[in-house]
Amino acid sequence: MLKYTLKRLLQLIPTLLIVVLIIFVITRVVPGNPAAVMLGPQASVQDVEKLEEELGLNNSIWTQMLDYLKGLLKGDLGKSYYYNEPVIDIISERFPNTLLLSVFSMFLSLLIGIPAGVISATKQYSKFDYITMVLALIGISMPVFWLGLMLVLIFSVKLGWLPSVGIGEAGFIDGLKHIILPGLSLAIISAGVFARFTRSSMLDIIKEDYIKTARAKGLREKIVIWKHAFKNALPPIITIIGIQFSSLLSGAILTETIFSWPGMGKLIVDSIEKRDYSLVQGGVLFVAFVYVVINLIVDISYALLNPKVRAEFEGTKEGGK
Amino acid sequence: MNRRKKGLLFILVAIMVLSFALTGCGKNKSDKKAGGNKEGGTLTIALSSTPKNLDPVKYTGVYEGNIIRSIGDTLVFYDKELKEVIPGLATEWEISKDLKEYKFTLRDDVYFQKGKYQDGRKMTAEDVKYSLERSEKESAMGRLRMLDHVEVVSDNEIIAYLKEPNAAFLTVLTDSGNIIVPKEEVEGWGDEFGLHLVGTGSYAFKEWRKDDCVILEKNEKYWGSKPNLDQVVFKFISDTNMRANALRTGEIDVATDLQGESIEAIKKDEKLEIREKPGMKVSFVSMNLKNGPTKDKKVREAILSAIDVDALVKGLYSWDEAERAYLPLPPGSWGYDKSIEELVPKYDPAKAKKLLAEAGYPNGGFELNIYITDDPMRVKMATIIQSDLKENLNIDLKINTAEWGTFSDVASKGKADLYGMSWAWYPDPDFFLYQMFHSAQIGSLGNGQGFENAKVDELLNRAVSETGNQEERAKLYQEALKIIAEEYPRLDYSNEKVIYGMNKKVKDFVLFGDNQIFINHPEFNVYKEK
Repeated sequence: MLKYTLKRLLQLIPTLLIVVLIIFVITRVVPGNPAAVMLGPQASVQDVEKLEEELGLNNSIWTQMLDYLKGLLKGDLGKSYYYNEPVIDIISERFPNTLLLSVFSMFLSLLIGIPAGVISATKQYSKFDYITMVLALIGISMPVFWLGLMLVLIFSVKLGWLPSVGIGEAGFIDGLKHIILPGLSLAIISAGVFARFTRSSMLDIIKEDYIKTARAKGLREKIVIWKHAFKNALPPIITIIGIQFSSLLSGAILTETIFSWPGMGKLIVDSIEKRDYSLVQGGVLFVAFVYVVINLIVDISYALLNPKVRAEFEGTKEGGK
Repeated sequence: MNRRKKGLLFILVAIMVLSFALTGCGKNKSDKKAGGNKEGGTLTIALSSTPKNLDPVKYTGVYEGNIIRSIGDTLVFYDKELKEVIPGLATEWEISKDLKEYKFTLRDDVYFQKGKYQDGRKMTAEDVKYSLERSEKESAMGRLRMLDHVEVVSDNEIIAYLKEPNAAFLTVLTDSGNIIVPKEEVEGWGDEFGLHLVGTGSYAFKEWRKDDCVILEKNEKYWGSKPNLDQVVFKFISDTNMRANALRTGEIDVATDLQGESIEAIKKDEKLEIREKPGMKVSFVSMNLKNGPTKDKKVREAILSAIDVDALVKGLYSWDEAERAYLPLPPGSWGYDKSIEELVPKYDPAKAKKLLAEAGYPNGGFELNIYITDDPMRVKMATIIQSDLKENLNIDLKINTAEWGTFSDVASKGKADLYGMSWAWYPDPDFFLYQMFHSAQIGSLGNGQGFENAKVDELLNRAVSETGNQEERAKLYQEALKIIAEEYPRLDYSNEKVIYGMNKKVKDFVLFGDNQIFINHPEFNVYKEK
């Protein structure tokens, strides 16, 4: 298992290197000159040329890439043209906000989605099942910005219970008030996904013989469902949780924009628009890193949860050699 | 399993407590401080974009300029109608006949706000020299490119020597990029000065919460009328509807740059009001004057005659957010001349068809590419024009949307048949006409269409070098404007208004046509009613 984990960790390096190269080339191939974008419509040709030189944009793309890679080896993600600050500082300011929002909405959506899916599966074709699945479908299909706006109209404008924008002042209570609406608007959508996945995964398992055996043994239904069926239904659910969570961590762009939540999504979109090359590169690289790490965690937890998978992994590894 | 769950819960709570402890923006608790009726309170203004840098020489966006403006002062200001230049840090000025020397007398009761590298010392003539020369050398936008050097004449007098005669120099000085800053702070902070701006303004920089807000606090030692508010918070909310919502919930007091339905929602709320003013902004579609079918003047005239501009503006601005435009200069500028509007072709599909036939395209049948940014308003505009051109001239307009970077690249390099954008700047016509119609500007976005006319070049040059008299200059600009209008280089379709939503408790807030925000100006001083 340890060997497997190490091997996967080593695989991260080429993956991330490829990401760096692709992003580097893409940012430069897309038309648009960062200097011109920075200075806006009113800049003269001379101003743009002057700034280009200052930013080192006159060097060839290969020189620029080599410089960037050299910096990366030293852990330096470069400096943002716009903010005039190290990229790493900017990311480390924004990422905690995104992490907070992701964890919060993940927690909410699991709390709603998983039990709803499990109960729906155990009571297939019941009223509860129908209602839950319709609600889940609505949840999945709702555009997140629309949902966000509706939540604000109801809870902030009409009822005046919760603030509509920003991340809040110091203090737990105020922070909690600010995170509820953006968190909820993300959670409702993920909860729908989780409920549907859990249901279908559970339905497959419940029909298995060993569940019948467990029931025949006279185990309590609760134990049959949660300990025997749910545990076995979990691997595909974990995959989808991993996917949802990593996409949340890369920044829920629309939600962050609507709620003026200073997170990664907003940062990356802004920096793409502004052609802030080093910030785009740093941001995307960081997101890619988060993605692969979460994927890794999902795979490892797969193995941990299911001895069969573990054996297979180790088998392939051996066979590979 | 249970233990694991508890562990997860613990981590979650710990992360949340930690992050919230990092603070955020919003209303200040000392909101209800006692004092005179006008004194105290926090004014929260929502801007539509996030500032990146508050260093006056590095800022590029209007929203950044608006924050800088409260922290620092310029030598002169525009009055609230944008018609006249009035004293700021300079009490008076003399301009030499050749328009190359500007002599300023400075106030002697001006102090900098306290910073890390100086403790609120008095501003001197040396500081003015330093700041203006710094702007000339370092300004990314070349804001003072006409300045040669500044000479300190006495403790409170300086002379600014220009490279060439320039009648627009005073206008340029009103830009917040030219505020006076203390050398110690600039040099002490180095690259980070933009994060710790210090000036002489009525509100001092207190804190910047990235992507969230900038907080300013009252400068007790301000030289002008004493600031009324304890704090001014500039909050960043990019979505229009959300700015309106935040205004309705009372989280903010002023919502800038409103559009669309949100205006109606605010009008309906008794506690709020909509304030609007004709803006210093022209939206237009430029035609390629160097290449393609639009190189032919007749084709351009045909296109202009085939577009129903009144219907276009009505269709675009359902909430009356703009007026129909005719010329490449906003009517709020002192160089505007209504009589030139007559020269712009009227909507006349039959005439348009005839003109196109005369140009050698009897049945239309060709394709034109229009480039616009992915802003929904521009897309709507292009779609309406597309249907007008198809119906009236059988021209196929292909709409190409791109984000700003790509758009500006294509448009400035003259690669587009047509491109749609807006232009907003100082009220001095130089910043519209020179930038968009002088041949020296070909290749920059302003004159991406490639307008080139020797007579216009000459008039535009004369307007800044021959006289400082506003009336005489206006005449020269009007003459140039006339020639430009007769060339049919582009379709000017709208002048957007400046529209802010405001809590009725906010008093004395004056809207500027060029979207500047002043909290404390020689002519008014914003306060919040209790």
